[in-house]
Amino acid sequence: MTRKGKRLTLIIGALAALGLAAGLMLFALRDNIVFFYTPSELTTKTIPPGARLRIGGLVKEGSVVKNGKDVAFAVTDRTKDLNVSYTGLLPDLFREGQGVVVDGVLNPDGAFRADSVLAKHDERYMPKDVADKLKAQGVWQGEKK
Amino acid sequence: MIWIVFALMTGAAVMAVLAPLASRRGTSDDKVADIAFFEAQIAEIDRDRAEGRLDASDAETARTEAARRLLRAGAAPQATATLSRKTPLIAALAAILFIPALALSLYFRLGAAELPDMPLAARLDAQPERTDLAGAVARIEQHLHEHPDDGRGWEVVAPFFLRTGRGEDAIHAYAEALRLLGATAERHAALGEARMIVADGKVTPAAKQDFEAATALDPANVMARYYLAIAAAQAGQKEKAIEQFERLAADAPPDAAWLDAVKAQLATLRGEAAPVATAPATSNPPDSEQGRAIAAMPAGEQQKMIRTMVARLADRLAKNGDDVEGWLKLIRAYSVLADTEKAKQAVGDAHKALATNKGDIARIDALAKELGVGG
Amino acid sequence: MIVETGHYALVLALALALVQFAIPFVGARLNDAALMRVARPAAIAQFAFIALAYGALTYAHVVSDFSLVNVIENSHSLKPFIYKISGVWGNHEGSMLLWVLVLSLCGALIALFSAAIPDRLRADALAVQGLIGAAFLLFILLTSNPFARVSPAPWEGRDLNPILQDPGLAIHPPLLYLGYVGFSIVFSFAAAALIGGRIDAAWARVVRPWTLFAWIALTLGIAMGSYWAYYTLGWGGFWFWDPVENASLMPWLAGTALLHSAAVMEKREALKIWTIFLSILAFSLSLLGTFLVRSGVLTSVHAFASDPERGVFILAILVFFIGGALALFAIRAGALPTGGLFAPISREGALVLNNLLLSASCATVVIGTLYPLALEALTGEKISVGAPFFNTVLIPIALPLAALMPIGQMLPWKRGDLVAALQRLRIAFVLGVLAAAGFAAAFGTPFLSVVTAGIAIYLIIGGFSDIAQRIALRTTSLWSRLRGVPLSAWGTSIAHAGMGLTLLGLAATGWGVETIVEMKPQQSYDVGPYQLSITAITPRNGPNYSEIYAEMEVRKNGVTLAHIEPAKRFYQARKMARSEAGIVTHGLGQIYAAIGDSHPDGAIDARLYYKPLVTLIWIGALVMAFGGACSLADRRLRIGVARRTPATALPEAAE
Repeated sequence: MTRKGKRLTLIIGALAALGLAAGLMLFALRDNIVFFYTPSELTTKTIPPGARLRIGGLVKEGSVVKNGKDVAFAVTDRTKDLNVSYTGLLPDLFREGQGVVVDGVLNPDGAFRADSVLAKHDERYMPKDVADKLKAQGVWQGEKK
Repeated sequence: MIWIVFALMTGAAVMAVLAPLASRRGTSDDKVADIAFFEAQIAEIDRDRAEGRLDASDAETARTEAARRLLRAGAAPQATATLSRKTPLIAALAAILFIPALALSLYFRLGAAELPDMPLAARLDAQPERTDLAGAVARIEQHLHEHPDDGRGWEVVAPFFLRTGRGEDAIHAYAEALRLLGATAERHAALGEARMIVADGKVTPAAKQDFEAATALDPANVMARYYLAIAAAQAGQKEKAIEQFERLAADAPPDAAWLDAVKAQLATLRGEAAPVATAPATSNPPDSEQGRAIAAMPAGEQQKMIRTMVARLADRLAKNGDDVEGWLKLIRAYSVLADTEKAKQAVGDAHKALATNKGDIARIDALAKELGVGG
Repeated sequence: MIVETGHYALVLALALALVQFAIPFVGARLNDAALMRVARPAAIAQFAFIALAYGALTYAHVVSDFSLVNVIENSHSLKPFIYKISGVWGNHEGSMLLWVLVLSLCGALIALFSAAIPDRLRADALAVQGLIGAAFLLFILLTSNPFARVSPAPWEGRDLNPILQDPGLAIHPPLLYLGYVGFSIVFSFAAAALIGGRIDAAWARVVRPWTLFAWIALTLGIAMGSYWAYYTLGWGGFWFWDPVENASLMPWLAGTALLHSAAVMEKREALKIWTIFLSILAFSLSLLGTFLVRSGVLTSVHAFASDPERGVFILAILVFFIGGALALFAIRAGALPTGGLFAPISREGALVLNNLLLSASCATVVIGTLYPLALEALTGEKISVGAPFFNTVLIPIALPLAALMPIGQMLPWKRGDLVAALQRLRIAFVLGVLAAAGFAAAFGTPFLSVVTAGIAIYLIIGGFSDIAQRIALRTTSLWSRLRGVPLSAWGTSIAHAGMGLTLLGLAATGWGVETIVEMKPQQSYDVGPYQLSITAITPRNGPNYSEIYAEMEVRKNGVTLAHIEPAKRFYQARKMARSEAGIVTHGLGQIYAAIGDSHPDGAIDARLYYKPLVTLIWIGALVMAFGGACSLADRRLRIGVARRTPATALPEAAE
């Protein structure tokens, strides 16, 4: 091959690899991102069935019902409530009136089926705007200033 | 003393820059470094070949390539660095002026050279009259850390914890006192009250157990009886609460200061006044006969007294604001009383009153930052 | 006095950093030897002063000097000694001070071990290093001063976040910083090369040991952070694709690519411009990570600082250095002499492919991390990009990359024969397929785990095939044959095998068992091949917490293997609960138990995991770092030796 030819092969190879990576990424971004809403935002959106969502707010006081490993509670942003069901262990810091973030799917009946529940101060992170909201409502003391 | 150290440090920094500027040592140039690099590379290949790490053909290819690069480096134009006399002098002067000027001007803005180190151990050993109440508490804490079996110490320090908002520590201290000094009705009642205050006035099951233990030891213990009645009220057992308060009122000596509190609770329960179900921590608690128990009550009288003193201090500062210690005391006091708004306002007022004195303002700001009441 | 001395030392270090930038830089432009010489003592003195400042801050923490705001907010007089030391960097101000300490250490290392480098290159590199140092020192002094004082001093501090009171945290950040900031050396040399316009094999030779050094530290730092998360967070997860974790992965991927492209540049003078670009990129991503963690744009467990003023300052530093370096690159790169060419099927070609795949992975992580931030800033829409995204994109990139690694090792420089290389790998290939079949028989699905495990075995064996065949081919004694293999070739094989081990550990996560049960005392619960039972549930008091712990017995086939004590702790001072997992390592796998709420009937909620081969994830990282260390120890790459005997490039070595 000529010098030019070799260089061309290289460049084409590189472009092909990058194109593949970009394609993969776009595909993954379309299918695998999780939108984050508060209960009131949820009511203003049309959610495609089966879409994964992340909902943040406070655990409504008096809403937690435990039945073995099944738990039902409501997430509230003090404007709207959303009923959530979950099976499994609740995080250490899950408490009524405290901040919570749930991941899962919205059922057709309007209830939310969570497959993961993160509590305030949980080891995994709390989205900033939930924290902001909680701070604004004076619920969050913050770990540090 | 500290300025001598600073001067020495500045001198060292300047010398680090001056030394190479003063030296007239020769210099290598790029070409020489390159030639040295490739010559060494070739020598290394030969050595590896001799030691059998490379086979002949590999060594030959490598050698040829390195030699080619060596030739190219040798053919490059000479680029020896110059040794001028003037430029180092200018650079040296610039360094001598710049380093101390920048370091000192920045340090004067940021540093606090007049503040000595304050290791905690040394402060605890210092003369007591130079320290405040908080210092005394710190000293007792230190003592308790070393002698955790000193029940008296726990008992003395517990109310201070409670008053400064360290509820969990107070519970721990009361519990330790109870454990080490033996159970009395007063100790049980005090522990229960601490638990209750930590729980924002709710009589938790643990607190209730404490009060029950207290009445078991001394059926006449006023504080425990009072809070048990509150517990009944909180649990929705209105009749029981009323009955207990009534008996408490009946047992009271006519001049007991806590009688009013009991009467107020009764009135609330009977629906005679606005139904405020549970606010024992803020309403006046009963004034029991035991002096020590009174000291342990953070809620009523003491808060009131502190507030009066703080109000007096605020008045004085409003008239004559040129008193940085006063302002610091006031901000701290508001913060202890959990009155963040007033504390913030005091920070603002102090700024206005002390505007001419940068050092004082800095102290106010530092305190405000520490207490989290900065504007 | 010690405290204020430290404070003044920090200010002096700033002045020296500026001098370290200005005088050598001017000297290099004027070609003045004396001015250029200033760089070395200035760099060493700057390091000495920052070390003094750091020592003073440590002293203040150790003696509980509560006249420092930093000590008040992050210490407690009764905190154990070790956490008084680690608490120095367990907070924003202290960790930034550690950052510049490591940065200035890198500067001092360049100054000490660079006698073989041309004066101008060294002067420019140290000037850039000085400028970075000055920017961060200014950041510390103006927005995050650890020496801020308070008078009168309070009597007690507020203690360190309990999650951070852990031995894992004591070593994790310094290692991570050594890696992050170690790339600053490479960055400075790249900038210096662009300024000076000289980029050749000798440059790559200078840069490679530093790259390796930073890469080793970063590898260890990431592995340690991941293990720390695994055992303290109580979820049994070791990687959450948390932006803070991604922040350390991005420079690692770029650094790994750089390590390989620098090899091509040193041996063959090819890929010069690309190598320079990667050098800039690796440190830029470190800066980006620092920005993400320190600015408070993210809120996560690691982000113990949030202050918009600081964020804007770091953003300015970030834009200045990345923008400046890329602008310099754009202006100068075109003027650089192009390097040698090579056939697509060759060691060089394989390394180019490696670089492409690594860069694509790196870009994926960058986009996955920044996209949610950008989207939120632009549209207000909040999304989270988590494991599904990264898995979808990275697995199809990582598996081919792993499959290609041994092939690349088999190809000679310049021109290679693919068929011959594949033939030499047939044993590894066959063993990989057999292993995959074996795993499939033993564990069954998922398919992805079986394939990944097969590739991992092939990678481990393939990595050593080259060395094995070299030794087998020769006729001399075994000892001299072993001696004949350069250390750096061992390093390559070991590091690649380490990658294989990690891959195997990751594949095995698919075979793990996770159960959530309500455990009753004395009753046995199956977790994979193991049985767990609780013998007692007891409360207990620690120094600054109270806890409920379960005594659990772990059995297999009726034989008791171990007792563990998973606990649920409550820290009174900060009112925080935290799970303490009970972990047993058996073989290469682990049994992991975490407990939750207790029930009135004496039962307790528990999360039980069986994680086969999980330890390989971290063992693999240790092996990778060890491989890196072998390469670094190779005579030709040894940093210190370079001063006395400028070393040489060996053509045969397989990096």
